[in-house]
Amino acid sequence: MTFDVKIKKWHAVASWTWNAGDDVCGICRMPFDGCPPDGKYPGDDSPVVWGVCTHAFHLQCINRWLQSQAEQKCPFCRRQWEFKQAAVGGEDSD
Amino acid sequence: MAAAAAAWARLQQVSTAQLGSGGSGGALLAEAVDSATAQGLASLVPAQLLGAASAALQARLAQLRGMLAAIDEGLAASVGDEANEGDGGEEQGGLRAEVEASLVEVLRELCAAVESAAELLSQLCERILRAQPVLAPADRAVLLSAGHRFHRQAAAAVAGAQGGRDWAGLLYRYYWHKLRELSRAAEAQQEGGLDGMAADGELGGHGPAMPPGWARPLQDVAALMRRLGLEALSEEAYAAVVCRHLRERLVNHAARSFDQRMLDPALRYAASTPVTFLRLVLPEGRASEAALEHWGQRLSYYVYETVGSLRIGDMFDIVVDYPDSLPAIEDIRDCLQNTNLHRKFVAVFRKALQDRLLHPGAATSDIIQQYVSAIKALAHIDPAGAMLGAVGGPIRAYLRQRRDTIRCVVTMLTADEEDAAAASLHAELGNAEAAPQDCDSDFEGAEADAAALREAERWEPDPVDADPSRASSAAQAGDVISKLVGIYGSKELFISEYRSMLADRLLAKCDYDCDRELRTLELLKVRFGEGNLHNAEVMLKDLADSKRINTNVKSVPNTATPLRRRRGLVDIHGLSATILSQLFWPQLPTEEFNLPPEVSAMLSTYGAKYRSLKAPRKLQWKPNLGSVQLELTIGEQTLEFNVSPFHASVLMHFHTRPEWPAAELAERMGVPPDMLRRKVVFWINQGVLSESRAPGHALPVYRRNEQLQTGPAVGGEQQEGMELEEGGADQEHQEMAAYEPFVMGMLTNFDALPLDRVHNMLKMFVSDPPYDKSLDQLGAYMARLVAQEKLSLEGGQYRKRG
Ligand SMILES: [Zn+2]
Ligand SMILES: [Zn+2]
Repeated sequence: MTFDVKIKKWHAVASWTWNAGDDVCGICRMPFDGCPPDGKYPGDDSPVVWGVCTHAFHLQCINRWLQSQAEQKCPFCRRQWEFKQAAVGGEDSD
Repeated sequence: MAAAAAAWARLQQVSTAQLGSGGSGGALLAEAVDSATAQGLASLVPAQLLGAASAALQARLAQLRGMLAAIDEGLAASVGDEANEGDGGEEQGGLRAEVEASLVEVLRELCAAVESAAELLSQLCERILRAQPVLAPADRAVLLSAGHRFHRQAAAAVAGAQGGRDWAGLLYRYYWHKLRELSRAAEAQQEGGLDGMAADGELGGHGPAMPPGWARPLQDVAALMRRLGLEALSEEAYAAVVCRHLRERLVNHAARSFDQRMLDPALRYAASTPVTFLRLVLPEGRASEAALEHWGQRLSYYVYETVGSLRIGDMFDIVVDYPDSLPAIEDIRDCLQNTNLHRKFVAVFRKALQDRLLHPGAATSDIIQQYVSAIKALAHIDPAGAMLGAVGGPIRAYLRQRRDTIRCVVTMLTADEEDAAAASLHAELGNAEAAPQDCDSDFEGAEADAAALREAERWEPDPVDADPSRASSAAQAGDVISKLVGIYGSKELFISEYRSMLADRLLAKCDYDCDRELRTLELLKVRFGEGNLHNAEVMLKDLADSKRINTNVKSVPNTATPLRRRRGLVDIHGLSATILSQLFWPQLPTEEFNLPPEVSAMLSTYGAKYRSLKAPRKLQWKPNLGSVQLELTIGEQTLEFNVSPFHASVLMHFHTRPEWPAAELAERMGVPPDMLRRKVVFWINQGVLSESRAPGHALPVYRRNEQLQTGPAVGGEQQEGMELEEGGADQEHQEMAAYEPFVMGMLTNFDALPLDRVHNMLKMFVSDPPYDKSLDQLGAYMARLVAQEKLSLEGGQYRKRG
């Protein structure tokens, strides 16, 4: 009479994404989920950041851009660049 | 004129009588010569004398013919047949003393006849010369050379007149006897533990102790042949005997084991008994030493050629046994350096490879393994690599045609240590000393192979002072891998295949342990350059990161700040995950379906915790990938399974509900019914579920079994790469099912076949997957096909059922 299924271990597979909408970084034209030209590994080592203007770039890319410019402006919309505070996880569901 | 005619007639009469009687009573003849000379006939005398002496010798030979025939018969009777020499000869009687004695006697008589006639001739001619100081130069020359000319004529006469028998044959048999006696004595002495030489013995310190008087007749025969001017005949005979003896010894004694040198003992042997023998048949004195030295070189060369040919014939098996067969390989190397056998080597080895390896019955991995061993073996023989190009060409050409070659190479390079063959290849990868970024030059096509063959035709041995072992290990270590990778002509193809295999392997892991894959990657990076393997590097880093993140995610309590307000958080201690940087992985198979709610809840809890750590990053699940370890209790039995998420999900639905109409379950899982059935079949085959079809319904109803069923399974469907902890016999049958189309095809073509024919044909023709079953396994499977009424069995013959 017994028919009992017990899951002892479930090993799942997922991929991560920066969830950054546009597929490629506007500065280096590389995918956000890849790495910028001088980055070796994606993810933690190639973070993606947003400006308050909502445009996103690789951190390395926007830093290099800002350093090369007299004025701190978004390369896309020319508005004053200001880092947007990272969204706190767990709020928005997937 | 009358006086002259009378003198000439007198000379004719006396010369025939005197020379015919063996040359005694020269006085009468001298007188006749004198009177002929006095009549001015001096220039005609030598021809008359020569003719008379030759006629006399012919008559003597005719008398001896019978004796020679008897001697030859006596020798032949004990020599035995060439064909069954090895053992048959042992039983034959030895050389009879009286036969040997009469041979010496006949030769001595011939010699005496020839020499005394020649002596008489010379004396008479000198006499004429003294009597006729003034003669035409031509006539003087004729007179001076008469004795010599007679010797030559006599030699020709003796050589050409042996009553239909061949001197060569007779001498060959005689010498063969003597050499055999010598070699047996040497062997007996060696077995008796005595050391080679008997200093004061019959042979005066050269060779084994022989009975007193043994050597004399042999020396006499050789010397008499020389005196008869038949040295060439004699030498031809003993040379043939010595070579045959050496060859037989090498063939019989070289047990052909590959783990022992054959060459050095052979060279040592060639310098012992054969040289002892030659010392007896060669003329004595100072010339003898020079001749012996020359013979020593000749015999060495013969040994190199013979050993080389024997070894070359075994080259295929030698390569199979590599590296245990290193001594045999060194034999070949030395033989090739001292002979001209390299072309034969290439031809014979190529043919052996063609016949024994490059056929549909050989597994790709075996071909690759043999190729790798051949590369290494040839490196010892020919460090320059010219022959490898020629020999390896057909292997590469053949491997290029096989679709699974790259996959096999990659598997072997990256396989687990347990597989010995693969391990050796993996070790080879670590040998890469040279930084072979330029391994593109190894990407050869058919044209390069043809060039290599031409190159090998011009092959020359390396100078002996070059240390071949050193040169080879350095050059070849790098080579093996490039040559393998080069089979297909592109490293991009190789790397992409490597990536897809790496993906398979990494995704099959639940423990994140990839030390071995990391080591392989490091080695491949050295070989192909980091840039080409960046993707693979990220993939492996993903595994390491996943392990860390998995621990971190699980340590986030459900009550942590960002999660507190979230509902539906569940316990996730049974869940682990591999998290990919998707852009760096090859295209992975996707299969959308709905996971059971309890699993979905776990995944979303896991995802939320990940997000709490890594925001703004988030996870996208791939429900069809991964693996599930589950425990099924059915009736009184508890079974463990390791299955795909889809299979696990299917089964979980039966945990709460005993039966599902196919349509309903398919809808619940979000897949078409036929796809569902492909998965359900696995559980039906395991005896866990069953299906039934109500009349008028297109789709079946699936039902869980109350007890594990062991009855006949549903045919056709193969399980999808699942590892089973139970049901070995079933699995075996399912493996055999891959060969069913071949079996059916054969029985269509051949009408009826016995089991062993089917077995052999499968071995010969089926390579994908390679047929590696035993006759018993095949028999069991065929019995099953008979039980399923697909085949019939009558009188040991299988037939297809109509
Ligand atoms: Zn960028
Ligand atoms: Zn902007």
